[in-house]
Amino acid sequence: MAQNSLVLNIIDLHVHYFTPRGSVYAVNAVNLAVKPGEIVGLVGESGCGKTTVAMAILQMVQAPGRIVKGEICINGRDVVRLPENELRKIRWRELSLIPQGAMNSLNPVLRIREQMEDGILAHERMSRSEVKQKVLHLLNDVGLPERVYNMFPHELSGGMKQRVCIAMSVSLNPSIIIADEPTSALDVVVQRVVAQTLLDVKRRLGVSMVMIGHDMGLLAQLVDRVAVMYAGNMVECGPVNSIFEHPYHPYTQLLIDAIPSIKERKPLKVTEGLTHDLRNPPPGCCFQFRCPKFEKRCLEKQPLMIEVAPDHFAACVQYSNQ
Amino acid sequence: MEQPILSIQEVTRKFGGGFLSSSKPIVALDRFSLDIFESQSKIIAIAGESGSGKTTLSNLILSFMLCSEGKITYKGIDISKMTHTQRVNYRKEVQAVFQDPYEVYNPFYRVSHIMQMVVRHFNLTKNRDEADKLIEEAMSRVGLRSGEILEKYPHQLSGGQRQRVMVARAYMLRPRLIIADEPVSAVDASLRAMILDIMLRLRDEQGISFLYITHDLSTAYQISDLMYVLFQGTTVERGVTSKIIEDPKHPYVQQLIESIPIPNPKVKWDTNISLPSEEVMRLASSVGCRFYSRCSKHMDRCLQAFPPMVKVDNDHEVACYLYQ
Repeated sequence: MAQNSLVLNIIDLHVHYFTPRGSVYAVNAVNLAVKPGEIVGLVGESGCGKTTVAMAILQMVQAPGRIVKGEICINGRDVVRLPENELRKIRWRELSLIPQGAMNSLNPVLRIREQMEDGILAHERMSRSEVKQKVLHLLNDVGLPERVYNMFPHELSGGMKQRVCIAMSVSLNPSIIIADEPTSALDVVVQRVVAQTLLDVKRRLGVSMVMIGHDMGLLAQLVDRVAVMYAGNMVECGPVNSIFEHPYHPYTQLLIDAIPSIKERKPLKVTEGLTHDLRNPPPGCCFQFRCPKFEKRCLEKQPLMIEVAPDHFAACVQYSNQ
Repeated sequence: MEQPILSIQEVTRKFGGGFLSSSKPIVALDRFSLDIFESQSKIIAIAGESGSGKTTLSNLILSFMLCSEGKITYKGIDISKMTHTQRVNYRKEVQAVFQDPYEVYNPFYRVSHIMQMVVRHFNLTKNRDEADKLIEEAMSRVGLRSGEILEKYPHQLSGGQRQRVMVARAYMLRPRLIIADEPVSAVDASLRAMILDIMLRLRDEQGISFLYITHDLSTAYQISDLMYVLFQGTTVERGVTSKIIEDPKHPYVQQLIESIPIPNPKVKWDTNISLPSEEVMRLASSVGCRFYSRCSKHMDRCLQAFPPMVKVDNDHEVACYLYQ
């Protein structure tokens, strides 16, 4: 596929946090491409850098963090070096966010309509009645009743708030939506309703999404491609079917094994180990301390991503000589 | 018949609706009963979504709040009427592990201080050496190397380690029962198994019972022996865990199990589900079955009175008119 038909293309992204006790290498050499109409799942445990990648895409990495290297192209345009006033035009129109924990991301003293209209009016000239029509239409699309329009966030349940956030994120027909754990903190049944809403939005608008999460089970239901991150590095990336059928990287295998099954009772698979300090990463593979297949070669350098199956890449020395 | 060690008898907890309040009280937990026996240590899962009353239940057992109706007895003594010595003993034998391992610690204390505080408070040992030994043993039980952990501050530990320190701290007191309120929901998926495994081992080796409060049916299925499923304060299904999960009877439990994402991209959810609006949900929940508005199989009688518990199998009961 040609480079410029990609909705999002991240090339060799490095994000560091400069703390008084040394730099934290939060994201190292991450590459990620998202095609039109595709949902890419970004998984990993807390602290692996997945939210930092999301913030980097939005150009909202907070100090002391900084993008030290790399390109992030949205519809072919590199956003890393864009000035703030240009970015403001892109945000929400080309690129929007469904934040983590919708409970806390809506303004508690504004009605839903005010918050939704605010974003739309910042980008488009519309009359009062047009905006109202648009907001009502958006609410209807995510399955919310009309009365939500005049309500305050505290009057809504968690699932409804999350759906308001989804409605807001699609209000200007962006080409890509970053969804940062859109269903964590919701109950399974509500989670499923929100997940259905997301799929429905994608189907109708053909929008691409980067879905960040740690629940492999949910991702299996929602995404087209999975990218697995560990300690700031991308370790595996491939089509969802291929990843679940044959996970190549030991960390991905561990993640898939750790999904508790509801179909059969099996002995718990216990793994020991800790992520290394991200301030001074050890030489060699980032997963060496927890890897069940650790060998001497792993100490040499961080393995590169190698194509192990069609469109399926993994970064592990096991596959490097073939 | 053996006397239960902890007995929860028809406990109801209401909030609001006081003397000056115009609104009706919210029933957070409705006539909940549960017995735990000393001789058979078990992991009992209390499952339900947020607002189902599961945390209210744990607060009641830990006597952070009082029951509106019914009573909880520990070794035959009502926990709200305990003398000081009885209460100290109760506090010692019934321990808690909370959901958020980030907030339970005082950030200014090292782990060693956190552990020693417990020893001193309950006068567990005669001298410092014995205390150190006790702490070390507790730490090794949960798979932590005390040399590495004790001198650290809570913020230097990972979520999984913090949660294990919490279990070690509870374990030092040789409790009979540990109330684990969502112990793994804030821990990464790859480390969850470790904490669950500790619970299993403490049950088998030390005979400690657990009340495993969770919203996650799949982990409950993996480790628990008995299960109570709550919906808006009422018990809708209870019994042996494997029977409930493998053959759920109540429409709510069926919906819950069906909503768990299947970790296989080739088997997609086939049906869409929808939730009724909030108004309908509030309207129906006053007298009859609380699940009425969300139930696909509701009948007229569901609105008239709350369905009683019906036995569908040995150790498997369900509160639904479908099985009468």
